[in-house]
Amino acid sequence: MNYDYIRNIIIQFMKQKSWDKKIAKRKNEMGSNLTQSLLKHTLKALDLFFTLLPHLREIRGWSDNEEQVLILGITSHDAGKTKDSWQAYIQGEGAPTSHIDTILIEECIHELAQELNFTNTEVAQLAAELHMKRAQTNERMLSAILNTTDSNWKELQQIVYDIDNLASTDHLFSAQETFQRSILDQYFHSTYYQIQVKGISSTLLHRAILEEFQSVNWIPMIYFGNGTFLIQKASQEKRIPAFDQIQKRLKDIIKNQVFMKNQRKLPELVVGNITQNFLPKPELFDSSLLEEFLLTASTRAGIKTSKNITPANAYKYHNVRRLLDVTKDPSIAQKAYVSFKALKDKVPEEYHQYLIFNAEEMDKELEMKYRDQIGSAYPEIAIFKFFKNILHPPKGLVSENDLEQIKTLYEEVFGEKSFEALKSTSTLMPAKDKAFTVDYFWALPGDRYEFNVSKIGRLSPDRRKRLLIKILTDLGERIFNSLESAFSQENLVSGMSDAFIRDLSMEFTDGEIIKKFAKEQLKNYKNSKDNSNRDKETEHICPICNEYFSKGAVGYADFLDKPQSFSNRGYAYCNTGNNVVICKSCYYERLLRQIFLGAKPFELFVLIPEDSLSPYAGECLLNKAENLESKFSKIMSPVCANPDLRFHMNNTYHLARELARLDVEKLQSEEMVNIFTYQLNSDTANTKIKKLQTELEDYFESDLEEINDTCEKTYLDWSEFAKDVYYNQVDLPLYDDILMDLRKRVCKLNEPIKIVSQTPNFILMPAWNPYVPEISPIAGDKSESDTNIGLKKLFVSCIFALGLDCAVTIIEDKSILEPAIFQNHGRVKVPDIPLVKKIIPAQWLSEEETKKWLKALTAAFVLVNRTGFSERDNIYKILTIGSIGKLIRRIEQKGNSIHYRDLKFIEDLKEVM
Amino acid sequence: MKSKKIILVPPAKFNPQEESIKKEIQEIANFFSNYLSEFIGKNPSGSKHAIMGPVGKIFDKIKSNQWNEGALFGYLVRIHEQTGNLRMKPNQEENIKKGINKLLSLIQDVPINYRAKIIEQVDYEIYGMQKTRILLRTEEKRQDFILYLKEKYGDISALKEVWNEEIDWDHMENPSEGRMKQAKGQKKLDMKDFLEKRKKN
Repeated sequence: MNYDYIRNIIIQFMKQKSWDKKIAKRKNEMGSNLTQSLLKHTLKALDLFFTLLPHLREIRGWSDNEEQVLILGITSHDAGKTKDSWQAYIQGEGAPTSHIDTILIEECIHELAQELNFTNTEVAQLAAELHMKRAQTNERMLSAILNTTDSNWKELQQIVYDIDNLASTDHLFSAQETFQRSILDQYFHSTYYQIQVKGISSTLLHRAILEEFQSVNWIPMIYFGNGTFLIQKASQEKRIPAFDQIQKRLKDIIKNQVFMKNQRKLPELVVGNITQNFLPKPELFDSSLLEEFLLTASTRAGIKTSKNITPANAYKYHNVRRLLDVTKDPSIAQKAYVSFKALKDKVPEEYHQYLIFNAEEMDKELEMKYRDQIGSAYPEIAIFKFFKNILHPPKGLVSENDLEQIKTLYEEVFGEKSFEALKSTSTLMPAKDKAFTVDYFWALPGDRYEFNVSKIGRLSPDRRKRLLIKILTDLGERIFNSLESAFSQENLVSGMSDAFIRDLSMEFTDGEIIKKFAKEQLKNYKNSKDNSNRDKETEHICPICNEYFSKGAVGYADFLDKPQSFSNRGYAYCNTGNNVVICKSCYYERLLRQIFLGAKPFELFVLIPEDSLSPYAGECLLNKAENLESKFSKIMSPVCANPDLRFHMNNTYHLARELARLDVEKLQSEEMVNIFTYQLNSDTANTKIKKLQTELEDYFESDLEEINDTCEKTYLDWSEFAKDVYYNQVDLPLYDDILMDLRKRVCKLNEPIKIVSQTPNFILMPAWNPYVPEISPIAGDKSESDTNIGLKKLFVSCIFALGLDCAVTIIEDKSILEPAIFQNHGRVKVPDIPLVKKIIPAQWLSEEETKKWLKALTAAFVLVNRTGFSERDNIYKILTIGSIGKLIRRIEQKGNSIHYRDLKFIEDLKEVM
Repeated sequence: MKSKKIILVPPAKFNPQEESIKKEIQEIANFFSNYLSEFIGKNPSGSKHAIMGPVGKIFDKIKSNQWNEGALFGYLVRIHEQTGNLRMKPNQEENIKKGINKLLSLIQDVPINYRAKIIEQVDYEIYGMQKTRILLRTEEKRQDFILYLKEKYGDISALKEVWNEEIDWDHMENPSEGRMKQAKGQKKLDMKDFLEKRKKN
């Protein structure tokens, strides 16, 4: 039998009967709005059956006839739910009624049997009718025994019953319990794993675990957000993969999926802010990427004109420089880096003759020269500062013991005492930095590096910068090769896999383990209370995930929201003003989010199965997400061919116009690419090309010949070259990185969102706003009200939920992910913003409500510009205007008009007013 | 003897957005809108004043809370006579009576501070209905005009040639008196002919 063909026929059959509009399951818990259509429930049951079928056929030796019975029985078992009375009951509008309807089941079986050319309908009818315990009365069972000719009917009926129960489970434990109670348990081993959900690390962990389970012949049956229920043939020995095997696989996945794919994003993360923490994430440092890191560091401090350098810097530089020239000793020279007032006290009297003690003593021409030099040395100062940061224990990467060796190598290049001078620099002090780092470099003879100048200092700033990066990269390579400890991502990958594997727990077979765990956790909580801000190896509980740990990481603002008062527990712990310490696993999780996105995410889009997914539905979700990711990446990537095509989420008017052309009821993932992209107009593109041209001319010092020499194509002017760079049509491997960097900067080619899909358990999309990082990527600007942003979030969530056929919630990066995974009670989570809640009191929207709200919000965004409401809260104003007549009147009063084509929008809005 | 404490129970908060209130407003608006669908003013225009016809006049009187049902009906009939082109039909009369009656009883049931808001909602509800009706009627007329042109010229290229204009069926204008006056050549003649035929029908 061709099961794909059968599945498609059955889907068509169910759609024809409008089973996608009928409710099969509904959760009535507080705040829940989780409904499952009859089509989805039946399809899930069928998919579970098809997953088991190849194995069951082998074990039980079923004939085609028996398989036909099961397919018909499973498909029609809930046909009685299509009754109006039952639909009214499930929606809370009618009296309770049974959904077992012999006539409807019979009709369904006969029609479907005809479509599929199946013949054995008698037992199928029996199996479908008896799929509820309540329906299995003595009378019915006896009648079945007496009247059925097929001797195998009881087993087949039992399987329909068990598959229905399995498809109805809504969490891991109930899946396991249901399976173990079923007839299927004698043919299969079953187990589950569960993880503590933290974020991207959890998606990688899910993948590692599943791959390892599959390698020993386990079959994933039902995917849940926090784990997976799996089965294995009972004829095989039950083998649960060992933790160390999973950890090994996790390590490979982290290496391949995280670091190999995101190398280009690392420099921006490793190089911090020159005035704050220049090496905020030392763990990410990789010596093989030193050149890229130094290049990025040089962008952290641009060249300044002499006007922007204060005279005080020139005076200080003069004094420090004089003492350095006289004594050659940085420790004495640095004493002169003080104000005129303190100079006499700080510097020994014997050196006073070389110093100036007030501004009048300084020659004005010399002062201007110093200011000019300091200003032009800024990028080099930044490069040296970053280099010093990586070599500075304890925050840097090397230990005190290594310093002697490093000093020898450094001074081989920059001369005697240069390393001591480098070490004595700290925060950005331009005069001191110039004297103690850059001056040593400028003093190097030009011919040593094949330049036709006496000293390097005479070269142009850009050539100096390039040369310095090259010298320090070579030096770094020699330094790191000479040291015992390795500075590669390998250490970080191991650290990450060690930390993440702790989030995994296998099937609990002994209740005592849980009791013991709870007892220990209570003890740890008590003992760790005083240590929340102590960065020492002691007892800690992570304020994010509640895990016990001894050695953690200090939570900096770079990856934690308000780390000094983080969470309520921060206050409870008598805050000392120090940053809170978090566990390694949570720290690495935040690193991962930044590595994937290349920046600190503002929000996480969480895509979760509505309750759980069968293998087939899981594969569908994964394929859709991967497809979308590859298409989005092509548009957003810095190497994209057409930078005129842009990704956006905050131009809601454009999103709405695109959506208005589509049928929201049948939104497809392929259509989402068009919805979220727009084309720049030619004027904007030309402006960008011109800007790029200026940058290119600056970089290549207007030397077009240099480009023509290395490039196959001959460019007659800069605009032609700029255009080719803009559209990524230049083949200049030598300058590849530079051109890419310039293009990325000028065209602002940042990835605002990244889809991280590893397994169907859940999919994460970290997102940020590349233009204004401190606001949501969905927000228009800083002045927009929370309510409007909330409604925009709801709008975007609805698009993803319907396009990818899953549940969606958007949480801020600082929020904890686990509740979002566990508390999904519908299709789309309504943002917890008071005025949004006033419009939509429900916690979650059901599938039908999602469609209704997507249409209404589309209408609101299309009409909003004509209403003249303030941009701060215009969407809220439209939705609460009260009546359609008032809205039309408002539009007319603002000098705009309503057309016939707007009637569709008016009708959609009316639905939610 | 212990004195009994009096417990004051505040009345339930009135919510003008409640489903039952919305339903009633809708019902009232339907009555008035049905009346207006057959009302033809002496000076028809696109203003709210013209669209609401005599109905727009009674809301201020209702707000003042000094007019009873009969007086309101009489007032509306008088306005109808003064501004309408046709005499009031029995079904129009019935719709007005029902509308006024329902509206007054709704107003009596809501707190005083919400009355003006409810009347405003009814006013806008009717306006929304009327506006929708007008838009649908206009589109119908436009479609009829397209049909007329298709019958006369066949395809769009022939029309383009005759009208000497870049045009397509989707963006065909609605043929109004104003547009006809502004149009030139064959386009003007076509619009005139279409409007005359439509008037006759």
